[in-house]
Amino acid sequence: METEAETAVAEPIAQATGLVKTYGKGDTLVHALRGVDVTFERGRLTAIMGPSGSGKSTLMHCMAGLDRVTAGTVTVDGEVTSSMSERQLTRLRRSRLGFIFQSFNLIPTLNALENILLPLTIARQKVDREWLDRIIGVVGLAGRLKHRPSQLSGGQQQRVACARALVSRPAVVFADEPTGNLDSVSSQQVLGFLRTCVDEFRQSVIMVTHDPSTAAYADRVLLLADGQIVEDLVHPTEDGILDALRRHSPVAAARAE
Amino acid sequence: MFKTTYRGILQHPVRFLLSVLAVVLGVAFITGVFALRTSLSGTVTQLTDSGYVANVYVRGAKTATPDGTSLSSSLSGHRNVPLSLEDRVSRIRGVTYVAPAMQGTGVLVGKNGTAVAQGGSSTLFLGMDSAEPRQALRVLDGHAPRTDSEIALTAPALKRSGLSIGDHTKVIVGDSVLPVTVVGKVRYASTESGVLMVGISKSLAMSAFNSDGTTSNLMVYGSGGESDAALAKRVATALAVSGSVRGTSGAEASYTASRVSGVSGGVVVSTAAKMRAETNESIQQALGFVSTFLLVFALLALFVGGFIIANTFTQTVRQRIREFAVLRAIGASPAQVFFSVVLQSVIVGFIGSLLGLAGGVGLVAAIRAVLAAMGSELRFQAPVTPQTVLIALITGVLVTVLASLAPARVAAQVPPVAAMQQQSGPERPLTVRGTAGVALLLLGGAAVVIAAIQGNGAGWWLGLGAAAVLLGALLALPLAVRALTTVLGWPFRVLLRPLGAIAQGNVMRNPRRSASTASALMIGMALVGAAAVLAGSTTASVSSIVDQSLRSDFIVQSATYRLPDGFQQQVEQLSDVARTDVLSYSAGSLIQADGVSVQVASVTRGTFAKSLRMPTLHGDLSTYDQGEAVVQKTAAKDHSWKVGDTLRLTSQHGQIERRVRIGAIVDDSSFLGVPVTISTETFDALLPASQSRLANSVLITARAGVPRAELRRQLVSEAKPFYVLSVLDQKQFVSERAQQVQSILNILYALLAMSIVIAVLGIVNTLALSIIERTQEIGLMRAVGLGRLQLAGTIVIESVIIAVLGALAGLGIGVGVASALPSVLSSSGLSTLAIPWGQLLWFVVLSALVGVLAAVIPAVRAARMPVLSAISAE
Repeated sequence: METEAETAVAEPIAQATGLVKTYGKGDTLVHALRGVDVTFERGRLTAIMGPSGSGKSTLMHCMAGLDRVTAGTVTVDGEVTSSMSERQLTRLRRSRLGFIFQSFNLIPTLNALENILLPLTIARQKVDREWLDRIIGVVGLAGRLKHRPSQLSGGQQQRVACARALVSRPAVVFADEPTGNLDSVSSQQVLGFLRTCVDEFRQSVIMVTHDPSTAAYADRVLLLADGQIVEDLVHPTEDGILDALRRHSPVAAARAE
Repeated sequence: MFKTTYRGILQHPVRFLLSVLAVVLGVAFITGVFALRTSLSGTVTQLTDSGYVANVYVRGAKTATPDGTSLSSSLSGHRNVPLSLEDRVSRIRGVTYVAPAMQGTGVLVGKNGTAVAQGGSSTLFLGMDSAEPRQALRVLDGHAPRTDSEIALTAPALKRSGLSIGDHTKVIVGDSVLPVTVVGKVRYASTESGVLMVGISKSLAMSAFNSDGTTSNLMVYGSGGESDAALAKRVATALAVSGSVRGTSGAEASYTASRVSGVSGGVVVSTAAKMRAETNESIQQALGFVSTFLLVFALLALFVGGFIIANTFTQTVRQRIREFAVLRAIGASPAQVFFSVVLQSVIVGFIGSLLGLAGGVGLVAAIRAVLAAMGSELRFQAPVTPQTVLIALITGVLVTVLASLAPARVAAQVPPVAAMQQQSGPERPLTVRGTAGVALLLLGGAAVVIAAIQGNGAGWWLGLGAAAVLLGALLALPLAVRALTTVLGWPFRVLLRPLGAIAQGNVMRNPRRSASTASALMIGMALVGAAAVLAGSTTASVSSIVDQSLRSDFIVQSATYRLPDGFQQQVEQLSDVARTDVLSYSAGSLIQADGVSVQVASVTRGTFAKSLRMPTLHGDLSTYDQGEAVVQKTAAKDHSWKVGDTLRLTSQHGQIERRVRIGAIVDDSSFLGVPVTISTETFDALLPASQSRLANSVLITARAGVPRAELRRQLVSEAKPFYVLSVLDQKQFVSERAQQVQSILNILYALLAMSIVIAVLGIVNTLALSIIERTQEIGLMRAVGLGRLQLAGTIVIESVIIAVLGALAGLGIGVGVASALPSVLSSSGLSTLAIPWGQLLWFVVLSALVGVLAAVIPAVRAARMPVLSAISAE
């Protein structure tokens, strides 16, 4: 009960109503999202899960303004992004959003620190030293700031990417399979960092993953299947997630019929 | 494996197209150069072919030292024959008609009262002999000139002069201005070339061109019943004293009768075919310089093209590392991977060469249009010969394949595990390449310094040095990229935060690639820089020589290199004129000084005392007025002539001889600029025929107190009736000379413009490919908030940095090497080194613009990339 009350009280950071996304036309028409209504709360780590082809990545891309929606509205941090121009979206990404990708996506010519500061450099914003030091302290990269991406391990690179996503104090961080390319130890470090961000810095994180153990770090897990949200779990355990997944697996669906 | 090769091409059409483009550019340039060369010589050949209408030609003996620098009758390398021979030849059995050659250059005054000029070449005047069986000039309209006051014009001459039949005008032939009437329209033999020709009466031609009683050849017509060779043999035999002749038979027969009474040295009798062959050969030789010059440019283009191709393949291989690794993982051998890349290069090379061939033809058409606009209407027969096609295709494919070998090796060495790894390893180190480059740079630099110290005649050192420096720079450029980019990027870093720093990082990321992109521009700019220094130095040298030497107020020059009769006398009688000095030159190296062919000059007595200062090194210039010779330093050194020595001067193959004491030795940078200057009396005695003397300028000194402007007005009105004279003061004289240099330079710049175009496309190519390579990165940048314009801006800055880098390196090399030119060419009058800094600065600005231009397409492409698919791109 307590968790439900919490959900109701928390203010939304991102919201989608009637979100539809289709690709192609005619015979090749694919419904990636079939009318999704969802609210993401501020100061939470929300995981989006689902089998491949369920639309989980599409949902995140649409929420993050990386992809255009076919129908419906998306509101991020109080602004309707689904009708924004490319220029406005660029500005939004620059100032209010942070991104973490599966394949790290660091700029090879810049060292770790320069990569972290890149969003500020592009936006020509002043560096908040205190904030920067805190982030760097949390990701544990203090000794590696002068290293180029090629001199860092995968886990270290992803932690640089995490720091970069947070350096501009974004309203919301989108993470697309952040642990997809990492070993379990590195994954734990990255997820621990994301948790810290939410718990200590009151950041909002929306994360796409297909791994139940990763999703178990989240405050809330949304399960997508066939372009629709089929489960909404709050503070689930790994087993709880696995159960939900099993309930909505194609095998289960076949058995039900 | 073959399937992966062409699938690879189909899958990445852009990559493929860009590699093809690199080949197209190089091959287009080569084709253009070869086609241009073919058509140049073709045009001239065609022209000369149609001129030889008689069956057999009688010329004097071959001159002992054929000298390419001599003009007119000595072009053929044969002595003139006396006109009296005409009678004897006409009595030989089988000869139906004999006529002396009657042609020379002159000036036609157009409808608007000014001399008709065409692309700097003079108008050809041809005597028309109505009795001649075949006419070089055929009447199309009106009639042939019957008197000395009638002329006939070819269509180009009519067009350019604006005259039509019935019009009255003037011509300047020999040394006189004649009033004439246009009475006919004529056509030059079989073809209509662009050359301006004027038909004149036989008597006028004889008095103007054969006034010394000789002619360059006798044209002999036969009855047509025998071969030209048989006729030639009989004519030669009949003329020979003992009847003995030597020679070759066949269509291009030529017979020499070494003893002919009244003709010293004998005669050579040749068929028309032989004459054509000889003329063509000498023209090909003359064009040889142009061809070599163009060929050097073509090779440069190929070299640059090769760089671009290698660059492109290296990049595409880098991008496909994963793909190769997968192939290796599923069992392809390194050799198979190697050949799949090489096979791709063959396809790219072949398609590129074919397209380049078409491009080259287009290039020639463009050049033709430009030349036509400038007034020289070249006729093009078959600009693209099978030979050209073959050369272009073979070089195109060969260079492409060669350029792909190294990248193919890299591809073959990709380990199968790379398929599972994220990124390729670090760059290969530049140690070997850099060391070789720096060593070559140093050696080349040393050679250039040696050339500068040695001075005259050290051209070889300079050439070798320049080549070594350029090659060394090409190799070592990657080493300099980091430092140069840091310097060049500074203004961008400071002014355009944060784009400047990002762009700079992109340039420095792969020094090898940035260097080879810049190298195309570097080569072009090296040549541009050298040309600019040469031009600047020439102008400065001329101006300093004129400043130091010329003391007269005006110099009157003749466009025909001959002073019309009476002009000097008229000017001398003007009350405001203190004195006039005539400068005369031999028409080429017609005089032998101690057996060496030299060009000589002569000036009016008192010139050196009053009007022309000469930098005297030894002896006394005033002895010139007593008939002694003045010799230039280098000539004196080369032939160990000293003051007090006696020079034996001969002309007309030793028939005329004079002995002159050397009175003074002057510096090479003298106003006259010829090795030997002798008194007017000796000069006239050695060169009796007026055609062998060029008296092209008169120095005019005003009487004290006469306003210059007033005298100028008088001189201009005196000169006007002669049409070909121009009155120049010192300043105008200098700029006139400078303009001559400038017009040569403009042609050079046009050629260099082609290499700049290639350079631009090379930059486009590299940028486009590196953007493909950086797709993911660009996606990320956009995701974290880089705007489209900012992204485009980054790419533009990157391009500008690369372009300016190449330009600076090139200009540095060009200027550095060319700085040795004044000391190497000092004997040719290049005395002062002048580096046109302002002009060089413009070139740098231009190169920055080139960079902006090159970035347009890649920048637009990059900006259009959708963020999402860019990020997830493989």
